Amino acid sequence: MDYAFKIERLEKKYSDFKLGPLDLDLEPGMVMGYIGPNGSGKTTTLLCMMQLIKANSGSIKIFGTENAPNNTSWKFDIGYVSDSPVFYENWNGEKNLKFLSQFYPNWSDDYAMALAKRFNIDLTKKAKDLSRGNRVKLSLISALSHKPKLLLLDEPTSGLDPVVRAEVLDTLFEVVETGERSIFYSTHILSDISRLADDLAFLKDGKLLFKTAKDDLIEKWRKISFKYNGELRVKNLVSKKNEGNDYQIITSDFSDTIEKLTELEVENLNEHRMSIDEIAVEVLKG
Amino acid sequence: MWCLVKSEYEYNLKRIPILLILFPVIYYLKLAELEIFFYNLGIFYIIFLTMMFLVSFKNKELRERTFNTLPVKRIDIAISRLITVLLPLIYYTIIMVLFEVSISKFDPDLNFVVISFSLSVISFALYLIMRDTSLRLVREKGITKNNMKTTLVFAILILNILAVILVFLTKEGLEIPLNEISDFLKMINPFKGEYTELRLIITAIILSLVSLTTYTKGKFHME
Repeated sequence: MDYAFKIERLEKKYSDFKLGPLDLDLEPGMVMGYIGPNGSGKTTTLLCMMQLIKANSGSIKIFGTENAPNNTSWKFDIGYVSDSPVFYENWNGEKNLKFLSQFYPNWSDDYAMALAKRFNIDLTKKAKDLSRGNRVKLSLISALSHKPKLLLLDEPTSGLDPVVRAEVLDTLFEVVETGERSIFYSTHILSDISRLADDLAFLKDGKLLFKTAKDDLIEKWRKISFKYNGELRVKNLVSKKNEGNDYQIITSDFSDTIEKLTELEVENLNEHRMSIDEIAVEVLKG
Repeated sequence: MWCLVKSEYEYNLKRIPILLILFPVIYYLKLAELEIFFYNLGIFYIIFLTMMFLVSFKNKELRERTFNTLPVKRIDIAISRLITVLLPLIYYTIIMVLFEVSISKFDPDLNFVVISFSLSVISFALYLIMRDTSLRLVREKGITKNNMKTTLVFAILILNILAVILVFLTKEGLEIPLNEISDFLKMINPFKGEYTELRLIITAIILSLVSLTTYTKGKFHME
């Protein structure tokens, strides 16, 4: 099977930061949320994938093809939205889209117009006169109109107001529903990706903490409170707080922990599911 | 590749006709050696070439980020940026040849045409090489409307410093020794000699090819 992308031992070094070694892959048709705080290396990863920066070592394959700078066939399969979209600023949206359409055989003008109507964006306005939200929308139209198999989105909703953010996410959800496209979505805003993502990968200080299916994460992580007289020794605890005999713990393996607590015969046991945001905070804090 | 060249010209469609029409006028002033307030109007020729230089690369740096995300080979992007500057230079050269041949029928100064074309190509190629090998911050900023004034001030400052150095090297007095400076420049000129024009053309070709290499093999766009 050709993965949508496969990153192996990717490393990129700067004077004060190092990304990797990073191993990550995405199956076709899946959506992965790439989560990490600012400066964790998310954008660096995407720039390496797009060959906008050169990795120091490692390999990146897009649908089985190495992302070499002078073999550009892999770029036909990619739609890329950066955190700062760039256009011909004195051209309007329509002209910018027309420019891009020359490079993609699969470009669909009808689809581009349909997306523009969906996004309610005025394509007669010059790019330099567009608001940040509309620039992101135009960038998304540019990325989607040639029907790419893989979307690389670098914090596309960052800085957008809630209404625009919801519009963008709704459109992405429709794209995802068809199951034909894979999406790699980097963000530090968990609420964006919690609805869309199948898998989540957590990045911190250039290191991949772990990758997991979103549903597994929600299933396995719990906040548990109970009373216990004694010293608590339980595996898979992410955090532990106690005031006297009142304990509050966060576990990353609910079933294992519950089994252990049952053995210990703890009292007043209460467990709560955690949201993706809460889980992400604990993961990235640790 | 030609799509990129075409787009750049379409984007600058308003400026290009002005340059194309203005150039024959400028060149005529140079040939006519007219003076106004003791200044040779041929200086406009130098100013014109400088403005063309600045206009060619105004804000282009940011658009290159988009080019680099397209399914276009890096070598094609490198060639397209070279062609973008060569086409108007070729037009200017044709105009210059036509002027020289028609006005100076028996003694056209085609050497000057070749020198002018070569020096222009060398200047553009050096700028591209410098950009490719410099820091991303410098490359992304490039020449923009905001920093054009600063760029010009720095350029004038550097030229003045060079002029002062040359004055001290060539003469002790306070008068600007233009003739001595000219002689000094001719003395240190690496292209002087029998085959000046040939050396300049070869240098222009080599530097153009180097600019293709620095782009394809050098730092990637966001480095």
